[in-house]
Amino acid sequence: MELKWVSRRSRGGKIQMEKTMKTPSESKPKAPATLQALVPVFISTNPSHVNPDDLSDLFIACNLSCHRFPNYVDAGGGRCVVEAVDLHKLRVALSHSSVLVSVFCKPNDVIGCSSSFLKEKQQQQKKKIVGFGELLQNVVMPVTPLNSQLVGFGRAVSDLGLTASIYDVMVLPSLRGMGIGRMIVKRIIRMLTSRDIYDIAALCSENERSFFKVCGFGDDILGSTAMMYTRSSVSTNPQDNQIVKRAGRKLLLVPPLSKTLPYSKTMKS
Amino acid sequence: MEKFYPFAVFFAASRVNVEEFLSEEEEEPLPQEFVLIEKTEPDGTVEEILFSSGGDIDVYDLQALCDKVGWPRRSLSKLAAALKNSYMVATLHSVRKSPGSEGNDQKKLIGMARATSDHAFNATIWDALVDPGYQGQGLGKALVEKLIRALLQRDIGNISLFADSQVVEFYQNLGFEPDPEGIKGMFWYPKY
Repeated sequence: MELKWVSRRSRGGKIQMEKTMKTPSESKPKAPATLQALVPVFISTNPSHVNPDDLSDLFIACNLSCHRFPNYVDAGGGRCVVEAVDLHKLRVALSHSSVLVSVFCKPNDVIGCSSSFLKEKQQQQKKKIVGFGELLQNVVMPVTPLNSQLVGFGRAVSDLGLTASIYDVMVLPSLRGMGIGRMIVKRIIRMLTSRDIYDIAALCSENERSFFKVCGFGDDILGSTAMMYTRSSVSTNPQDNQIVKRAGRKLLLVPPLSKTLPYSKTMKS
Repeated sequence: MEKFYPFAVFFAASRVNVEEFLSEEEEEPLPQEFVLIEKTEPDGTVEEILFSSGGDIDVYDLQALCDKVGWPRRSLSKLAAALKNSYMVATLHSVRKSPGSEGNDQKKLIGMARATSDHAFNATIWDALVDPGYQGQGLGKALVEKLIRALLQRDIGNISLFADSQVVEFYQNLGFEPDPEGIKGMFWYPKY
């Protein structure tokens, strides 16, 4: 759990100024050369800091779903958004995740960081200049999970022996390009490797691939193919003992229970 | 989804026997064990292929089985931890009963598949293997199908796995799609 600074000007992934700070009671912050455009964020791996309602809001803000093949609903105005997350299932998923990383930011900084949005509005917003008073406020009242907004998240599921899979890495759109996502993945990896897990996988959609590449992920060197269950097996008779499950927009057919073969065959030696 | 389930249960109840119906109602995956195949040899020896999802597996037996299929050796303690923390471990054992052997059954591990999961949305199937001497009989298919069934009944819809090139077709026949909708698997490579 620590306070970090990210630079608002580092679009394109490069962080110009990043410092890790202990809580203010332990050390004084070093005043960076350029105070403007620095945003303090709080990163936590404590599961109790994750509020499922806030996380659900973050999913919506990022237009992401827990389902790999989500259902989209018409939100009006030609926009298609994902269905809201099932809160109960989200709680279950969180409680069974080996690693949970959440990033918080003060609400003022969230509002002030809508640079890409404002570009469309012809750059009306003036750059926020952090004066001494505000710096002092950040020191005396640092951003904590209690006084701030959840702006980033990531989790991993692991068997705590051999493998792990990373899921649901997300950052509020207005705060992207500042290194927060990378910080989250780095932290997840650190949590896993400290428990001796080095086989870490991530299923990435097209637009997530370059992000994970930057985080140090690549195609499997052993050449394995990622596959997902998407439909019933080709050889199964659809009428025979099928149960249909809807998961997102895929209709998944549950394979029938294997029956004991009545006739015994001799084994080939 | 809520509208679907009662219909499916009603539908299933009319087709499957009561025991199977009850197991579908259970929230927790019960350790299920049943005989998949039973064979009688000319000398009267009966061999049963026993399926189990109770996760009762000897890590040394598993190591020996992995050796048989040619997989690289892994740390036994890590293997044990991985099995313990898996959502479900499905095993196949061969139980041979010779006539007159008075209950001295020979039990041998011949197959396994396991899945990790967050119990709600995502699951990954790892380490599916069958003893080469028992391949080609649909046993691998049965193992994986059982895992899928248990996962889908718990409404865990994102089921993924990483298949070596020679088994991609095997999984395709079970309903898996490679890189669906452009989703690719990536792995972390530490840069020293």
